[in-house]
Amino acid sequence: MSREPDGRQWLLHYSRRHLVYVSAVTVMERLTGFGSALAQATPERAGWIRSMRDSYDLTPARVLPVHYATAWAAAELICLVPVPPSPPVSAHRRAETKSSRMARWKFDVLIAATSLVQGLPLVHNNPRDFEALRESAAAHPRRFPGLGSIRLFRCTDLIR
Amino acid sequence: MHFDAPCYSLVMAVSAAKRRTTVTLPAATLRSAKRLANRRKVHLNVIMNEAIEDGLRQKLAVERAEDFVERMGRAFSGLTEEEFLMVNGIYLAGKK
Repeated sequence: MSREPDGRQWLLHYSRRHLVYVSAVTVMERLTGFGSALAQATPERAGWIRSMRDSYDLTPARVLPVHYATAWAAAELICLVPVPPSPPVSAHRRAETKSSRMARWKFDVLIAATSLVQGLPLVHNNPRDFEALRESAAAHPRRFPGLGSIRLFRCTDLIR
Repeated sequence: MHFDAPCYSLVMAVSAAKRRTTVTLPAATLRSAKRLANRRKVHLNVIMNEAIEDGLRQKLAVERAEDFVERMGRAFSGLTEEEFLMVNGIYLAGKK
């Protein structure tokens, strides 16, 4: 979202008025990605990636932890939707491995569980996977007592 | 604030933990503040403190938001397609 000018504009407009919350799982995913990109980069490129990673500093955002209630809700969601609805990503004849896809799915489930437990809407760009989680949670409210429902906003809808 | 309006000086009386200062306000702003203080039956200082603190909080929030969005833009806009996938948790296997 922060890559697109319209997305940045929306984020600016929103964060002027409200606190932005980010899941600790998202932070881990991003920093792992920067670390992996750094490991594969040429020495000249590494400097750029390091400075981009340093820019990813979420000081003004509030990072939400994974605590017992989040882990509990995530476990319920994984039991309901054990396999990711969307296929592994592929590009230029290369594809995500099954194990990597499953790991990413569990991270997405933890992010959805964080949003559910905290009662905060989740802004995402992955409708197929998050919608499946939202529908499953809505269909089994007794498995999530007192938690309400997962509220989703797709970022492309927000910037229209 | 509109600075073309006639201005009045206001000396803010304060307790020991606070500082006394003089600010110049547009007459209309001072009238509004006094009206609000009368309505709420509080001293003018209370209204002025609240207004200044709220204003500063808003300004700081705007500054923080601008800094946050600028840094997010810097963090992601220079990445190649594959690096961007990695930062999103997607790792492609196979020969490049």
